[in-house]
Amino acid sequence: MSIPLLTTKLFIPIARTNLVSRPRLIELLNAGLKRPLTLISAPAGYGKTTLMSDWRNGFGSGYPLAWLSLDSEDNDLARFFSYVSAALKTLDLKLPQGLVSQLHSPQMASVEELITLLVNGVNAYPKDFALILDDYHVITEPAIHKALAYLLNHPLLNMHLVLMTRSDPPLPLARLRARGQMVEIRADDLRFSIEETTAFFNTAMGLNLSAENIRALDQRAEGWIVGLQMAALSTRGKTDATAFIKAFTGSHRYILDYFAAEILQQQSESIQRFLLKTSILDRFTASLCDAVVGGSNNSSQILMELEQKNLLIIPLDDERQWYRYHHLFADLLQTLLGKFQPETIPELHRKAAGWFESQGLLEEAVRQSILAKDYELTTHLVDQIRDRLWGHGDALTLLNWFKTIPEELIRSQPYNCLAYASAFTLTGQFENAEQWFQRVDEHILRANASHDLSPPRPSEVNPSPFTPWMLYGVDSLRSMIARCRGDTANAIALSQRALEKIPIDDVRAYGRALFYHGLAHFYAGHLDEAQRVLMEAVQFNQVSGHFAAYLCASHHLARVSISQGHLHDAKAIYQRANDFIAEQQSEVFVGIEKIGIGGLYLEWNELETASSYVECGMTLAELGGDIHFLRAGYFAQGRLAQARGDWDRAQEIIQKAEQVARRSPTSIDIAYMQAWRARLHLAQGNLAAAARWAEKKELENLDPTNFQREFELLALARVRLALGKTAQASNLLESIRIAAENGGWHGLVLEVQMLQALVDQAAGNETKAIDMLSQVLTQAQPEGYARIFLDEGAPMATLLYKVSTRRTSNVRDYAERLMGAYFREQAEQPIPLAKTLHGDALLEPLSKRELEVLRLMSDGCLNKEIAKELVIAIGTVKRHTVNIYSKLAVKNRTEAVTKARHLGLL
Amino acid sequence: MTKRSLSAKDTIKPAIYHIRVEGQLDQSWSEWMEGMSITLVENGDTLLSGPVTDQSALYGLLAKIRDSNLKLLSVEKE
Repeated sequence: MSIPLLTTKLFIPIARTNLVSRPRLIELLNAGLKRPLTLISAPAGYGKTTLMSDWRNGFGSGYPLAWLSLDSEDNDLARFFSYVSAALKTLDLKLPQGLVSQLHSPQMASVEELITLLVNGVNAYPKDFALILDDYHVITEPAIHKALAYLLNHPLLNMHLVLMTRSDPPLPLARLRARGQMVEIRADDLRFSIEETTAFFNTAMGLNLSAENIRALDQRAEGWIVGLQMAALSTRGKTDATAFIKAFTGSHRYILDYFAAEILQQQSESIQRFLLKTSILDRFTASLCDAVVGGSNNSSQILMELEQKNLLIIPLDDERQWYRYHHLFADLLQTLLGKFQPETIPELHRKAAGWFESQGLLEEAVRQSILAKDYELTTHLVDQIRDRLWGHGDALTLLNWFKTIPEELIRSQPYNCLAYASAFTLTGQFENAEQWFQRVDEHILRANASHDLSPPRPSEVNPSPFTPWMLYGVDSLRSMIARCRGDTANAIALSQRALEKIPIDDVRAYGRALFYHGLAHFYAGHLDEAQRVLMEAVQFNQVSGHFAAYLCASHHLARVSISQGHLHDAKAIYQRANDFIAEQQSEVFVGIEKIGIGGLYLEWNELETASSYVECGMTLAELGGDIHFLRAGYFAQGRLAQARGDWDRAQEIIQKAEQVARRSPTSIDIAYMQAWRARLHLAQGNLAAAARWAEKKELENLDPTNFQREFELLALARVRLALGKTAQASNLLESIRIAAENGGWHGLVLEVQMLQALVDQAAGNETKAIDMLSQVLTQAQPEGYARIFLDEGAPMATLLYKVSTRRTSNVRDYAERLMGAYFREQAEQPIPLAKTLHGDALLEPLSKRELEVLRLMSDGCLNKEIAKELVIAIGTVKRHTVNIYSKLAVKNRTEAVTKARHLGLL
Repeated sequence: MTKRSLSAKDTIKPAIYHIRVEGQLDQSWSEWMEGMSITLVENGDTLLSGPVTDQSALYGLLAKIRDSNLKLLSVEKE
């Protein structure tokens, strides 16, 4: 199996076995493990990497080390942390879980949030370990320095940071030094002593030089290891070593200059050519070298030979697949290449790009094409990688690539204009997107004027200037923007126009456009139309074999059924999709069909079945990484956790879902998550937090007929109800009901009426409430709804009880079954003290009585009043207060109330 | 445009820097060192001289000197 390039950043390079052992430095490194930071700061060529490699070998697998080699491209907070996550994953897959999903989001979390995610992961890891960042000097991004400074200011007990760098990083080093929180290894510690130089020349390199010669060399090179290494390599080919050394030590020339030509000349012509040409590569395999060097394809032999000769080449993995040159040597070779054959350099990068492309390493291929300044190639490569990156919500990387391409080139090609516009669309930068849409329009207008609208020629490598995507893409994307902005009428019109432009025999394009059109209708609330279009979309995408689009269309078709209140129909749609995909040979990493089935079982309160479907779907969704499917999966997981009363887990999932939602081009996704959080607060009895959310939401004045915001609106109605604002809750519910009724959203009508029953009950209209709920139950029964009632908690249980005592027949049985489920659930769930927040949990939970006392305290009641209210003695109240103070670790009433609020107890 | 902004703009010209490093560098390093001219000084040091666009270009140059483990002796602006 081949080792992916990116993981070579995570390998500790392999030390050569015949070098000098350095016990003193190893001891220093070991001592560093007891401090938060080890700083290894010295210029290139002082043996930093070799030292670390020796250190690692000494541990065996006894002490976990996570390694990350940094590159100058890592000067981006998101990218940096995603690599740190990848490095931590080599220790334990779960360690950086929270961090991972942060990658490349357009609305990135703050440094503090990222660090918190890191800290949470590290705290949960049971062992001590070291995180080693190599080549930290390439980092110039202030946010990354800030993150590390923050981390060192709040050191973790089980994580030790090791920074390897050529110059001191801008961190508060003096303070760390003064507090004894840092071990330093600097150039003076690293340079070879005379004993080590002797061991190196005579034992390691087998040169048997005289003591005098060695002293001369050591003085001249001042223990600089790479200099000594080059001296050794050059001396090896000389018959009169002493004369050669004398000439060198007598010269003032820069050591590398002195030896570079010497070493190069000692090599055969083919090796010289090999070294120069491959010097443009940061990391390489034999096959990559073959591609870049061209000719006889004997790179694996050459690499082996170079390694045997100790020719400044470093294997990066155990299997000898990836290598790099010693940095200084690579620089030197590049200088020589630039001097002798500057004109060949772009061609070399182009060849490298070709190799990476053939290996499917498209991102690396893009990078090489940019280095080759072959931007035509760049756009061609970007085109291949685009869909995958979009699916992952990683449009930001795309955007960054486009920004390196000269604007005129993008402008000149309508295809590129559209691709650039889509990158802007998918990162939510709608204004910029519009600018580039206009450029596409201009191209099309001009082409129309000159009758040059050539038909697409699929045989061409480069897309012809007007592919079908060109013609309908602008409308499709504009339709998406309109939908994100809530302008559903426009979204429908634009997606309709797109459809009209596509020849119906272009099944793939037509299927995709149908999907956009169906979605526009769905969000406009036109369920019948949406159903018709999406059914067609399902068929087209099935025929075209675009399975992701097929599943997407099926998912939304099922959502239409759910909105209509037809759960069994929805199940059938998902099931069909599930069976169809199972029959396919290829793996499809979507999972939404399974998540969908799980969601329905969840509604039917078959939690075990639901859970196994959802988990199965999530495995696929995580592999695929598409944010929309992930979001749906998290929502199902969160509702499951909530149904089981596992609030901690629900919170954890909501956090992940929020991180994913941040990568979405529209802020509606975030708003949705916040509404979900508010509902969770309500379910946990944290009314204050829910009310804070509602306060802001009220200001937005959401349109009650906007079906895209229905989840938020219903959450708002619930908070109003909880706050006792029954009239306002009623008004809102009524507006939603009318819109839902008109649009055929019977599933939504059920939920609204169920809430209306609760509102009526709270307002004291018991008869009305019972009538309403009975009506809802009659309609809900055939479809087997359950969670919709159970999630409303105690007030619903009360109302169900009343229905069951006053009604007969079917409805009573149904109500009793639901009540039975509710009470079973209550019996299984932990007492409400799971309410305490993360990280600040109480050691000992408050009793029910103590909570009552606390609540009265917060209302400002005196002990006397509390005693009266609870019908207990004043002495008992006092005893409760003392217990409350000690459990909350506070001294007085004010502190107790503040802390209790903070913990969500009130 | 005001007089002041004119004069501010006029002063933004690349400054000439002289960077002194220990040891003697080959002429071939000139290109690697952003086209700085290379002069060998009598005591065995080397002077890199030439225009440097701005401060970040200067730091880039210094980083190259660091990365080659050349010993930096002085940096002077003309």
